[in-house]
Amino acid sequence: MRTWHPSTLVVAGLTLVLAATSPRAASHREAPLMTLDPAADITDVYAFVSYDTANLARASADRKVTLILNVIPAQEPSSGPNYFAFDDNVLYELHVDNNKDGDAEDVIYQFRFQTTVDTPAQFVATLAPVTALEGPNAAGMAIKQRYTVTELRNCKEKKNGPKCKQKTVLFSGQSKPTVPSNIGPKTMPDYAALAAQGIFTDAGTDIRVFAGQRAETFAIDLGAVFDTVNLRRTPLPVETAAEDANDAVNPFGVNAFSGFNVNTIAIEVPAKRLTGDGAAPSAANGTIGVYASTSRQQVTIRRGSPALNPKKPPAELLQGAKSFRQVSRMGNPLVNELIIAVGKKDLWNATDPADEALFLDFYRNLAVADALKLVSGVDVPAKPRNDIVHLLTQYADQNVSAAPFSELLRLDMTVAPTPPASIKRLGPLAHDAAGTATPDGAGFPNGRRPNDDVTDIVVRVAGGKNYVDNRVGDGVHINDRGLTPDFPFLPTPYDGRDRVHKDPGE
Amino acid sequence: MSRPQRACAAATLVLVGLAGGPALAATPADRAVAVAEEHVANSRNRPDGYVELATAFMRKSRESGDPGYYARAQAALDHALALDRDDYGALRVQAWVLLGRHDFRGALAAAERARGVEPDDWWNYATIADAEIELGDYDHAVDAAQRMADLRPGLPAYTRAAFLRALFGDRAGAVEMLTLAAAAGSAQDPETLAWTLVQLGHEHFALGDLPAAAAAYGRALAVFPDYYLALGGLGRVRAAEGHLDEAAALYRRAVEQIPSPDLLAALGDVYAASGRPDDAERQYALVDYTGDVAEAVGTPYGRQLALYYCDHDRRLPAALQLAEQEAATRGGIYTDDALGWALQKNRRTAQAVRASHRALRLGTADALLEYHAGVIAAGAGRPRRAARHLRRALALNPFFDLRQAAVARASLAALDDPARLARGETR
Repeated sequence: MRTWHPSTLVVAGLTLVLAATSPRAASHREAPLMTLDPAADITDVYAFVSYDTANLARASADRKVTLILNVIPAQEPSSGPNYFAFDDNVLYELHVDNNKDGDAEDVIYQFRFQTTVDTPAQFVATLAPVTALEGPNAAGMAIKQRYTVTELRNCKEKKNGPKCKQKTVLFSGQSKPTVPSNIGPKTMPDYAALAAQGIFTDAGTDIRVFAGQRAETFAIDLGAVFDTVNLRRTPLPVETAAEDANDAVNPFGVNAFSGFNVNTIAIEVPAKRLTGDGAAPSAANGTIGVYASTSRQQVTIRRGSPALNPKKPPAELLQGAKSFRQVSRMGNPLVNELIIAVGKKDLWNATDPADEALFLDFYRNLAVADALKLVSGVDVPAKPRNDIVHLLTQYADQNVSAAPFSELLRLDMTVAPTPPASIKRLGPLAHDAAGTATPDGAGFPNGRRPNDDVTDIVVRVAGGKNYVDNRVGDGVHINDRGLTPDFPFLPTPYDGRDRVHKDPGE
Repeated sequence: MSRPQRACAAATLVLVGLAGGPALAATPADRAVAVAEEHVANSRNRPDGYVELATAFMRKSRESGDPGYYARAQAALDHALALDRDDYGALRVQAWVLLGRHDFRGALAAAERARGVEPDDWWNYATIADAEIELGDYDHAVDAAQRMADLRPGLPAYTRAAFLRALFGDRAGAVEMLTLAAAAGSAQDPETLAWTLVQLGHEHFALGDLPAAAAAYGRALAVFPDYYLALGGLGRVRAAEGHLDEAAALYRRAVEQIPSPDLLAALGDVYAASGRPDDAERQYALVDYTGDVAEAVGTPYGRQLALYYCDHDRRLPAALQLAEQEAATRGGIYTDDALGWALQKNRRTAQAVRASHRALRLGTADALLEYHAGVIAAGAGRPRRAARHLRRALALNPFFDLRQAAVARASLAALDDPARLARGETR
């Protein structure tokens, strides 16, 4: 502890303030401008036919599809005493288009959270070991969070949100507990078992849900990619065929997200509930378009005449009653980061994907391809990049010269899931050690699985044939927790006490 | 997917030198500065890195309360604009830096220019609203802030909505907005969350709710320990509760970091109330020294200094000069209030009355504004109006100021007596 010496310290401090070169500064009520808003920041969206043993064994008509929405990026596991929760004031949604019109309002899943503080005076997050999400064995947790799941069907977008023909609150309207952050082995002796208690199946719809913390599977050499695609290895070909075919090793990149966690909302739905006609997926009805959104409450700054009695508490509860405005969205990965220009990113986030026509010039002029050419000197396809427009904003059978354009993650549910042992990170671009193509059609851009290497796929698609042939990539293939074969298909989060940040084999 | 949170350890080491003084642990803003400096070093021919660096310095200035970082932010922006005078990233941040430097007209012009380039970027409406608030054009400020809130609801929009609601007399609505803002904050950005909680504390204090105010300041200190704004807020609560030793200790911790005139004066007032006039005088002497420097080079603390001089009946001509200087660059009801108070203390009653009317024109529920209006009305020979203002001040917040609340009570008693006498009542 420093002791306080009034004269020296204060005068030294005064000099600091007064020596400022700017004579007019500080000291007004400066409201913040920067906003991280992690609770509403969608990190990744996944959509795939479930590849757990049970679903692999089902007849194709009875298969189930998992949709995942991740938020709160780059969670350092050892963040006590503040751990990671969803925001009670954010509306979390997954939207599905099942009639190819680009309006993803045919089926909507809404998630709303509610936090309860059982012991407000408790300073540490937990006291007694936590072995259950509810009841006496959960008593150690000072703060608990529960959530409700609502299915909306056949909606039309209106000014104050969707109007829907059908609304079902799962679990008969009951809320379910979320899975808390993985604090450490003493507090949570068997976290995997604790988290497993957070998977719930709704009897009426056969829908499974999970909400809580998971380890981040998205692996990328972020520092290199966002330094104008300044990849750490440039001589071509970047990776040998054998390196590129090995999904278990990162040949040269540094995974920026190793050892970090995210918060996951996962929902597994029978495929028949997602088709337009309620029938089993077929060539006619089997392709859906998906995006996730987060929304925050709209506010009116001047509410009529000033309050008569300023001591009166706020009239209405903040939760629930108000209309919402979308603040973040995601369908395909890396669109906002790599395609949309600075200054338009927030607007893009607030826009309905069905209005993607507003942004098509960014796709056609794909600036990231220019950056690739600049770095590698290898030619990229000529503009306009209608291939990119078509891939990201249209269904396969639609024509790039005409609407609709809607930036959705598209999943052909008739493609059988690949068993975990055979899943290839490069999906349709996968090949063996000799370089012979071994495509895995159940991966991105046919939907997206948690371990698909979207960075390498996107770089190669953006760069075109030369980049596919030269196996260009960021040198990061996988996170060090690997692939998770069961719902919610994302690994157990790193715990706060024993976390490490490393790549596989490091 | 967001920016990486990992900072380069080597760059962090560099920062300790940059921050100067004792080796403090690197804060989120320090890490942002380190990352930005690395980006600048890697690509000196592109504006982006410099804009990122300017942004990081702005964060650092907020976090530390040290306005010296504004100059560094401006220098970084100058680099960016030298590379590309139309760089949009630099244009939008320019308005922010000018706000920090209290060049509100310049900030408004810069913000309007950025809006011309990107009319759908919420940021430009935030900087427009901030500049209009400081210039006193509240209708335009509300329009801009509403547009901002429509484009991007979230902590920045909610905090501006709260401030405007409070200005228009809707304190309950301000509390609602700040509660929403705090819920949208993140421990990953502790200064922003702590700032929001401090504003929530101020709103509760403005209504005399000391326990709620203390709880909000306490939460701010939990997420951002030793935050000078929260220490000052909590010190004011403890003083109002009569816990003067605790209040003094909190204020000492605050001025140890940022010896701003308002915090030093508040510490002096606590000492004075504790029967420690010598200690009090030592603090007041430090504030006077700030004023001496201000006379030579100007000051960002014009309003605080003017109020301090008036409240302590020191250097009253200088107080008026500061308030007039402030009014030349800044509008708004709090500028009018300081000007009215300084005019009153300099016995320019008629002008004081006009300034006081302007200060109350929005219907703001603020005890200090009402108190000043009351004293000014009394000076103008309007005892009933004076009593009404003073009663309203004390009803809104009986603890509004350690020294002035007592003055308000005494003045009210003095006003009430002759009023009763005039109505023929006996004591």
